[in-house]
Amino acid sequence: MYYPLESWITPLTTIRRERLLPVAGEVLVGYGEKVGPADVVARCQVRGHMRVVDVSRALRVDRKRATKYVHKSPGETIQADEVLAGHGGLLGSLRSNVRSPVEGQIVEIRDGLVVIEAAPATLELSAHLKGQISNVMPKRGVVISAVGTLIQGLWGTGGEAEGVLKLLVDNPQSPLRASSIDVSCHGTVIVAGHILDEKALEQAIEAKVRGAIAGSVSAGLCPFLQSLPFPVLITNGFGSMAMSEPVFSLLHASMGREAMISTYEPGRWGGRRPEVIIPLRVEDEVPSQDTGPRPLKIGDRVRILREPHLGALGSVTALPRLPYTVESGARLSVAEVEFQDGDTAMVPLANVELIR
Amino acid sequence: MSQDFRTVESILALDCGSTTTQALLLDRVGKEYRLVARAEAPSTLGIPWNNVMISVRQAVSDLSQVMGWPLIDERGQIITPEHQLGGVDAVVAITSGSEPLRVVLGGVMRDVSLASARRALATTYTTIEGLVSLDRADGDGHELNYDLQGQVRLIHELVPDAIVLVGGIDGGTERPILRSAEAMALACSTLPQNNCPPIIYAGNADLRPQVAQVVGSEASLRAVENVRPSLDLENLGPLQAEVEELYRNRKLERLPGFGTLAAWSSVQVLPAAKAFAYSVQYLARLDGINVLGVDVGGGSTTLASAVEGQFHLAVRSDLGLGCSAGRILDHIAMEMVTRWLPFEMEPEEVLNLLSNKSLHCRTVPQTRRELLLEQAVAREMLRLTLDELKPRWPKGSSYLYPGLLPKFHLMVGGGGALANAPHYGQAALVLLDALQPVGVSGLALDKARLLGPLGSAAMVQPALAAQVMERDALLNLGTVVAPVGTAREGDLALTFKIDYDDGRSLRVEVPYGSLEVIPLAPGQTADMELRPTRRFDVGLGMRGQAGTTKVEGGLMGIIIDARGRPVAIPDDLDERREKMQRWLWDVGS
Repeated sequence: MYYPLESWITPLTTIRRERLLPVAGEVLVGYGEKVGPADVVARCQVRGHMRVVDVSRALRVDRKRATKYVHKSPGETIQADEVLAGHGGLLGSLRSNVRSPVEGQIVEIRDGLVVIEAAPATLELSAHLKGQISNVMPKRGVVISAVGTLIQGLWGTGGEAEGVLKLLVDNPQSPLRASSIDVSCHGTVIVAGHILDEKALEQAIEAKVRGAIAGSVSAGLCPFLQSLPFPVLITNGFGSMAMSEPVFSLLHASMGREAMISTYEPGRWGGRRPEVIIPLRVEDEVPSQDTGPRPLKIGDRVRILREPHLGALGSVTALPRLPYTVESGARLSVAEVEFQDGDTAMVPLANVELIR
Repeated sequence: MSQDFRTVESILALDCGSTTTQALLLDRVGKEYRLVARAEAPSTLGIPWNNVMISVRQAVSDLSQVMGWPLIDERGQIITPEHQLGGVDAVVAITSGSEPLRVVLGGVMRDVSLASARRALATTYTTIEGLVSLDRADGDGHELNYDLQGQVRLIHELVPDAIVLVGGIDGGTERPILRSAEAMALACSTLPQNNCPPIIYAGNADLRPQVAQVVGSEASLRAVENVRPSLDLENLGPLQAEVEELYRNRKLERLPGFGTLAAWSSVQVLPAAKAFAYSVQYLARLDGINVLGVDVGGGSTTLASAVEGQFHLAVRSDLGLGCSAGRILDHIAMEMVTRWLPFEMEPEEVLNLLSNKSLHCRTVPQTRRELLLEQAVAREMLRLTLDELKPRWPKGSSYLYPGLLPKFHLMVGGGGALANAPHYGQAALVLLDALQPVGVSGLALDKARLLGPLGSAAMVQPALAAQVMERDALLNLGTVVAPVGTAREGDLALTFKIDYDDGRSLRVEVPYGSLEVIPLAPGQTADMELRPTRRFDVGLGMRGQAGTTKVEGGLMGIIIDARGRPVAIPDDLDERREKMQRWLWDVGS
């Protein structure tokens, strides 16, 4: 029994997604309510940056005495450039003032130091999914349920976006080219086999695309991708490999539909997988995606995660009990995989990803 | 733990790593304790599983199947104690799978108190997320957060698990430490109470009351002995103990599934690095020798050493061959990795391979090309971790040459990168390249990755752990002879003569720059007469000094590493690659 890595690439499933505020706030929708991707479901105040003002140094007074020159108390608000502290000189004309560097609230005054918390910002949490509220967690957020296509990616950056899917290539091997990006891409989520260079992405910035999905990208481009004004989702990994055929087929079939992409850079200690969700209007009950991990079995559809078959798709035809010697010389537990072209190979179990 | 372990005859040892979980059954076979069976499963700590127990149960089920002996009941619980139909008497568990403790470290002098604090923090799974130093810059020229504003912002933005404040020898500097304490307390006062990290103070002991006064009720303050009580004295123990306790409370025990793992375990679940260090200490004490144990795992790299009775441990939680494989390039230039490859690999390919490895931590190299790249990364991870340990070794009789390793009688390699090397020669070469031993040393491999689990098993049944250690833990690779010195490539470095037990003898001349492997089977010994030329020392403390030593055979035999110290790596690309390939061939890979 072996529990493999897994990716959901499925045309129709019930998807439940938590939308949670980073800090306690207010939930704006109720159970059963229908929401669209742009609808605000919850809101909270996010604390501003802390600024420390050293009043004793600025006024050149002893730290113990400095506090008495502060005009404000903890909890009071202050405007940017407003006088925070000051004292008169011997003749009044040598008056010295300290002004607040930011608008905010006085948090702490200690030994001549004043901490000001910059004015908080309001964070509005959008639904980012077309669906129905299936659970409300007071002050924290909601769970939204939707039916549609789900494609889990491997890497992403730039946050979340919604837009109409627009395929810019006609096969999963073709790269994103600047020449294929024009005004018609404005407001869309563009799709290509892989990303070759910065040029096409610069063109995408010009065209004001909402997001990009590609099979792969060179890891060296990651810092550039992280600086883009729109999210980028990578489905297969780093390099120049093509987008997996089932992913490409699903995106192709969904062309013109609205897609929601969420990109999370997977951290070493957990986090969420990047994903594409394409909501569909379905009347019947659709099984849920939340069925938990399961062991690998014969017949399973798999994707290979390492060379020499990196990115290849196939199905498991046997799970030998004895270890097998692979090219590196290591003897490893393997699965026999039959690829789409009919070839078979022994692949280490650790390098097999279950496609669900 | 008041349990009586005197009747324990069988132990199930669980090792939950960040990429692999293994289950080992240690039991009595005839009159002695042995490793009876072993099974492993990919760890299930991350998404989508988020529960260490899935892989634990999988590994234990596989073990049961191999043994034909039930270890888990129908409810999925461990059967203990052992009875006629199944089970084990005791369970021990170690783990390196939890997130490291995120620390902001503040101090006065980068090369003094902060350096000592770093060494103390390196003995458990920690990462230094932010550094505050009045030196203003770190070794790489990065401006550090020395001012009040910077310190407050740093803590506020990072929200670390702990703040460690050091600085000043006892009776020394006061003002900068109090200013730092003030900034840290101030930063804590701005954080919600449940997010407020504890402050550990390990600086100038005379200042403890003032620091306590400054911190007040803003944060929980734990004062321990000064990590640097005087300029020439380092006292790492108290800070180490405090940080380790925090790691246990804040990280280890929050591992998903930890509750069940702890309930199964007969003794406290140990951090794997600590358990590994216990075993290295045991090996050193057993024969009164210097021992170096290294472990390149999926999530961290660990080195444990015993030199002249002093024990040291260094853990790099940011250097592992799993999800952090790509992070090696945050610390060193890519050429440092690719210099170990016998073929050309474009920087883009290296970056892509390591980045993909970081995405799929559990995957294993299937091609020789990817395998050798991972082994190259392992060399550099070991080298970087070694840098943490080097300043801590005593400058006694074992330390012949500054900057090089002290004389180790035994070096043991472990962790997935070494234990899973397809060829023993590859594992040996990684160890030789990364550690660059001096003189005559035994070389062994912790192939079954037993050292960590045995360190924990010894808490239950020391006799069992000792016997399994002796019989099953170490795979003897052989003996390394590494002369120190330089010469022109091809010049004679050493002549040696081996007198085998069966009366045969062999005389060999070893040129500088070469790696020679002389067969000597495991279990066999031979007398070896070493005659270095006047430019080389074979660990006897004097160049040209000849001597005779008894050497032990192993799977590799005797390796004469006459490549110089440090190993001379050609600048010319073609020459370098040819040399790397030749060295691989020399060790039979």
